Amino acid sequence: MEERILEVNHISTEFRLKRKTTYAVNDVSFYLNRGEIIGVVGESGSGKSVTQMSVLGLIESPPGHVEGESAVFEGQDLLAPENRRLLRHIRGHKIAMIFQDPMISLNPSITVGEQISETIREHLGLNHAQAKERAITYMKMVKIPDAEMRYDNYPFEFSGGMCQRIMIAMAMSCDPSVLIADEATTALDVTTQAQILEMLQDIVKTTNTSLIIVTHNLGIVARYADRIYVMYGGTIVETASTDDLFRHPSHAYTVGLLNSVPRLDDSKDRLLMPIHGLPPTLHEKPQRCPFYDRCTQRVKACDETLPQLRPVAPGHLSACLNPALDTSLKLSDAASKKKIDWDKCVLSVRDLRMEFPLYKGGLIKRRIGTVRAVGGVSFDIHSGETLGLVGESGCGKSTVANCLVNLLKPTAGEIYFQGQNIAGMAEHAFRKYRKNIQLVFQDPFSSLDPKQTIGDIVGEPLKIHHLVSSREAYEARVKELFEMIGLNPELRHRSPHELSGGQRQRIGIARALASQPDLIICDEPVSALDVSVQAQIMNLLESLQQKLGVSYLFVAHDLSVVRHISDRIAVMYLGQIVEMSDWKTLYENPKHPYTKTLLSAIPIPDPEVERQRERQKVVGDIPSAAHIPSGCSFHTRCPYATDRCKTQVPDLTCDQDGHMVRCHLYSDGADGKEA
Amino acid sequence: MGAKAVLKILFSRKATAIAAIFILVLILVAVFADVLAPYGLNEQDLRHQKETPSAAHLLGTDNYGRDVLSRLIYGSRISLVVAFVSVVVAGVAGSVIGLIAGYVGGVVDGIIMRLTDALMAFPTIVFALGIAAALGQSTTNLVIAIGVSTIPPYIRTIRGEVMKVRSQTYIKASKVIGASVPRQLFSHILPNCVAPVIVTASVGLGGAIMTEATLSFLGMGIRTPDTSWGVMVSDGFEFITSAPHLAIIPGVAIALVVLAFNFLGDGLRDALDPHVRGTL
Repeated sequence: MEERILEVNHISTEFRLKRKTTYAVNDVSFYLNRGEIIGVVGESGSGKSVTQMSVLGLIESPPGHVEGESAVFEGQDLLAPENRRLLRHIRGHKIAMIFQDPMISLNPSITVGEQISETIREHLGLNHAQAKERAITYMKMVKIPDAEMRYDNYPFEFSGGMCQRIMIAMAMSCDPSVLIADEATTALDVTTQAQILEMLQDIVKTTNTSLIIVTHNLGIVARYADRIYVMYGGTIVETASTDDLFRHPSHAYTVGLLNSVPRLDDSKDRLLMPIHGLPPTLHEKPQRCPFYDRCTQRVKACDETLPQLRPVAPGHLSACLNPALDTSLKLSDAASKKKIDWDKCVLSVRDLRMEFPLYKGGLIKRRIGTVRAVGGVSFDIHSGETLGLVGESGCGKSTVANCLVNLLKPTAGEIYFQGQNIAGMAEHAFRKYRKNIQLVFQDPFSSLDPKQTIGDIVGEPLKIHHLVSSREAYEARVKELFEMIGLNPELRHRSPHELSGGQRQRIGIARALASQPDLIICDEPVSALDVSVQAQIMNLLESLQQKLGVSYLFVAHDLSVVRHISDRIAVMYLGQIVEMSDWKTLYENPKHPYTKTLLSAIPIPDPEVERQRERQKVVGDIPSAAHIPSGCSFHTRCPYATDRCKTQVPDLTCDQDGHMVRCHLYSDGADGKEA
Repeated sequence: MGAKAVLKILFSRKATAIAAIFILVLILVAVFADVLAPYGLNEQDLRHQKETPSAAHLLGTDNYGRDVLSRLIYGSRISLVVAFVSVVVAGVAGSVIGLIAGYVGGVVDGIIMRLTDALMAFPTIVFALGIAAALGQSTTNLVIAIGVSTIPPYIRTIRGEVMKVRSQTYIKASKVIGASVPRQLFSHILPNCVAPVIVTASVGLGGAIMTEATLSFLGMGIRTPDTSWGVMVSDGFEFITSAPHLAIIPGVAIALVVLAFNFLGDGLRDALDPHVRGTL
């Protein structure tokens, strides 16, 4: 019999504000066995974090208010008032937590070593020397190189991934029985995310610690969790072992979620099925299924009672009332109606370079170096085509996007648009191209002027470029644009803050479409959105392309997102394109070791596929763009690196199928090594 | 957000609501001074000098037998007008300069800000006194003196806001759709910067009334036969031992109005700040 280490029964949390009460968590129960990894999955606002914080007594009261039957941890009820002092001791010692943003979770003015030892001294009562020794042991465990030396470093001297390792070292330093990782890798790059989770899994399994992974990412739980809780609208809607959950999803929401996330192993024709509508606001105590409004498979009973979790198989509980739930993954073989004119280039970029000087000193500035953000990038975008530009943070993909819309003046290189080199043009000369090249921003919250109504935002390009002749034509065009992006034109007098993230991003797209551009650059347009909403926006972009024939440059960090929308994909690393080909070749036959690494790092939301995958291990951190490694810039992290890679910069070579790769393994004078 | 929402939040706080009503009443009193004042501004009743409050003279009489209440009512006109006009002068000038400094940046910003720093190094009152003395005594010059000496806070406030707003993505977005520089400045940057200026102005009104009173008290402001509250304090100060109410009553009036404008400023700051909205 497995040992229950934590068992939470019927916990509810509400936030009582003057005007309204938010019922954030409603009657949630879960348990955790020793040495087990469980995943708690849900979108933002589903109550997944609040549940964990309620158990640990981390909810501010007022306005928070936690009620529950019990939360038994190693035989003691954490909810009992008499155990409140004990809880302080348990937190950070027996139950440790890692948060999303390591940069703000660490105190910037204290050395990392001191922060770890402080925790150790506080909970284990060791003296300074012993605590330091122990801290260094744990820094070594989380694979911080030169742990003894870096003990005295401050948080800003570490990268984001390294800071998260420090947080893990701190959390593990008192030998906790339970570790809670609350979106611990969401802010990190995919390769770093894979490294951190891999390491966490190792640590947890060797020390027999239990781990709760709280995340919105289905792929992560599929790869790492033993058992999963799916949360929606403050309740647990389904729970099962990882294999069961993905093989036999039994709740309409779980099915909807699986249908809406893009997968790395998708066939191109799989249609993403977005979940329409918005999550509930939770201002009333739920009386019916919280998913009712958005559910496509609801039955009459769903409206009448709040469904309770009921067993559908041993260890598999679901709160879905539809007895005949369609759980199949939707596949659509609707042939793409895209018309790509491969003979016509909308945009040609040749050897684009962007360097930023690095200065030191306040009054008298001294140039101490150069940040090479983009180091010679060339590509074409054809009429009606989508080119995916993929890379981790700092690879220069956004810099390229900014150069194309003349927000940055490139150091060198040419950008041909409508037969004209537009690179670094003066603003007054570039203005006439503005309406033809548009940009959709990443953050839908900061990219809309809060003082304008959304109708004014969408209509502004029409006024600027004098695209309409009369007030009526203006109104009609704004209305048409609203309909195009699937928003009710009645909403046009609203302010941006009254809209959800997905709706705001639609406004951003409508603004870009207003001047009927030939090319839209989408700079990570879905990465700030919830998974169920991402699919809505992706589908919208695709259908608009089919209707209007517009070309896209789709910039993203996530290979599974670009897969669906792109015709060709370019992978960037440290300012250079390392591989470029049509989408199919890139996913099925990637050549560059970095592309392979990137693909391996992304988990697929399917545990069976995950187990069979051959994954290339990720090593090291991304070097800084101010100190780009000599030779092939990837050689520091490449498992196939040879001496030649350290000295000689590889060229971008192209095979007969147009598959381009920048790697010595494939160049003519290769040392006979095959990957 | 609409003006309605701002007012709603503004009046949900008691102190702010009382302050706003007080100021509103005061403005009405100033406008209808001719109707409301029981006696004329310089109507003398030499048989009743330096009298304490009575039924005939609710707030007593001064050394020339003039009705203190009537003078207080007439005095509110000049006090308020001088305050409002000087704040408008300072606010508009400061906003324009601050907008230029914040948007253009670089050397221009450096020069403007160093000058502002230099201005701020002078105590407002000394600076205003200097200007008033240099220009000569008149109501217009008093407004100029108070206005110019209170410009620096507006420059600082709006410059900081412009710097913040300028780096927002929606300004980048307006560039991408091809908005001209004036359009960026006046349609996007300015509307997102005015809230703190309104707050500064509201608190500044109290300050301006105070400065006017001080200058008048020191003999550099309004001259008899006109009167303002500052003049009344100044005149009454002579008789602080024999008829203390002559200085105390206008003094209390000044204190109350300054307090009211400060409360209103606090309330406005909260009402205009989207982070605070909804939590009150």
